[in-house]
Amino acid sequence: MPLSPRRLALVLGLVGVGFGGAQQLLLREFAALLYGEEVVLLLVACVALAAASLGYRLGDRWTPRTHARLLLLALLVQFAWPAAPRWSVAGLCLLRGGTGPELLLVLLVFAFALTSPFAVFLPALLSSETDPSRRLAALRWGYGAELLGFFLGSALALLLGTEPQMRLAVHFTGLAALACLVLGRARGLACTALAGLALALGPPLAAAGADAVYQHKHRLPGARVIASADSPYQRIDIVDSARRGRALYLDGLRDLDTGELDILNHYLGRVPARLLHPARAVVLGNGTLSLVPELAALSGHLHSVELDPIVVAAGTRFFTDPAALADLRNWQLHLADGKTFLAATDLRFDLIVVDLPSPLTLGEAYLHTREFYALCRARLTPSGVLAVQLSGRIGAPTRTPARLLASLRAEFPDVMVLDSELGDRAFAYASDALPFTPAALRSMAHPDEQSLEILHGQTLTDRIAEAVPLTLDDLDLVLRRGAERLLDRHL
Amino acid sequence: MPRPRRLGLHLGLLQFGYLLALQRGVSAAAVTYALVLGAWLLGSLIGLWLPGPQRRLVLLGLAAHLAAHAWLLAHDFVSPTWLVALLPAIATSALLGGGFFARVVPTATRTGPIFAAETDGFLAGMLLAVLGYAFLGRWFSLLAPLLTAALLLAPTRRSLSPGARPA
Repeated sequence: MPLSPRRLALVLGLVGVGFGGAQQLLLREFAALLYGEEVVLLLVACVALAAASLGYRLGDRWTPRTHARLLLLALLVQFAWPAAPRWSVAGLCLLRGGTGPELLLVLLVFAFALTSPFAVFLPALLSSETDPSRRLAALRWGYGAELLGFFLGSALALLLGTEPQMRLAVHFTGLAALACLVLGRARGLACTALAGLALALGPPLAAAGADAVYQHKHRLPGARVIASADSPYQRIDIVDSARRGRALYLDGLRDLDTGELDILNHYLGRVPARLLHPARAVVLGNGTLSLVPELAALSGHLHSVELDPIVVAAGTRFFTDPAALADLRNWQLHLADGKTFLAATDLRFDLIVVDLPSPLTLGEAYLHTREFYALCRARLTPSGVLAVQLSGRIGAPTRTPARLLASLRAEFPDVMVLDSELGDRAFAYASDALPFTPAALRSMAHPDEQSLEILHGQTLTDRIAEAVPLTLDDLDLVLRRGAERLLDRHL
Repeated sequence: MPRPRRLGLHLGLLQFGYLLALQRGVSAAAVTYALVLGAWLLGSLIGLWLPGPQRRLVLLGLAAHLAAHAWLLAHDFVSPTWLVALLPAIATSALLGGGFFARVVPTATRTGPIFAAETDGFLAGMLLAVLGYAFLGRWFSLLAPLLTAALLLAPTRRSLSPGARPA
């Protein structure tokens, strides 16, 4: 039985809101559970589209009765979000003592249950209209409402990322309204009651299962997630555990912990700033702002550029004393993409510090390319220095550190590398003519350093002879590394 | 390959081509994603009211794509203000999707398989856009939609048979 145009637009508008919201919930949750590499993001997007395709294919095959039953089942899965996938993953990891392929299968089932029910509505409602001109009108208003709803649902889910409980409340309310419209009053009210119960029965539903994931999937006994929020870019978790102390996780990947933060900051910022005493410096990344107080003291003027305001908020709450930042008169924070900031600025810097995660997504990889390093060079003063952390120790020429070094060598005439055992990673300093010697660099080693290797000139050239630079037109590393890591973990 | 699948492949390549190009060349900020998605959905919406000849919409969308990508190819990193100038190109490329549905859905016996096939094609287009860009670079993003547009414009077996209406 065809619906009136107004009711059709309302139903499909709500379907769109639910669809957009569910897709965002799915993306963030799965990126955090499977780790936010480009390959994982792509995999999740593929699964969501495949689920939608299945829903479309079945939509006008089912009887309204079957449709209603399956919708009720799907709503139950929605109301158990995000605890159900988290507990499933943590439980499977506990049983196996690690991660395995079954994890991917279970998540696949959740993805289909979460997203395909929304795709059922459009073909079911359109095919019930047999007159072509009325069906065209139904398509225009109904599909149009669904597209608008999808945009609204996605936007709401993104905007409410810092209020996960509120986001779930909005999503559940939309679903309950949809159930009332589609399933009739009795079942709709039952769904509303279920949604209310799901929300009321917290301990905060949005946080349910998070500790279990870190305890059993990340193997951190006694781990506790003390704060969690979704930014439009990633899930930010602050986790306390006996093994790692306080750690920052971005989309499930450990970005840093308090133990290694000082070593990272030492070689990346403190050492070059002490050697240079820059009149003007800029730090790209370093969302925790942990480098800022010390670097500001060593510089005439300091700029920080960070894309994600939620990471900055987490940094000032958990990693850097806000009082140490409050009195800084020579420091400016810019919430922007590093490459956009550098492309737009007329300023020239004596020191550019690039403190970014390993290039595991395309967005991060752009800031490790030869073209980006060329942009950095163009924004340096003649004796200015670029400091980069290479995300690991120098190894095979196909691995990330060697390829980043090859990119730097392709743009800068003078590059020096410090390979730290203590930091378990290498750091590079690049310039037109480095204003310090290897001996000066060695003299600045961290007090706890055991073994430090400095590579410069021909020695460095020989070590990375076969490495290919990462460029805007050659970012295969992002997908290759991501696929390797995903397969290693699960197969 | 049925037409909706080809169309989805083309649209997937276009949408993800724009997204990758703008996040790379302009900004990876969330507002870029929101504006690309918004412009794309707006284009699809307007397309629902344009059920005329598909050939024109294919060519128009392709021209917008080529202009935007050729310009971005010539500039590694640009100021975010350029994003606003590129949004109409995105909406223009998306007109085709809405126009296609408005043409085929009213007379289809079952509508589900059409949406499903278009989604399958879109999935393949998205995958191809990301893999092609990562392994082959910006020229892939620029040129691949030329091939899929040619596939869309090529006469199908049905349109070649005597008495069939031209696509």
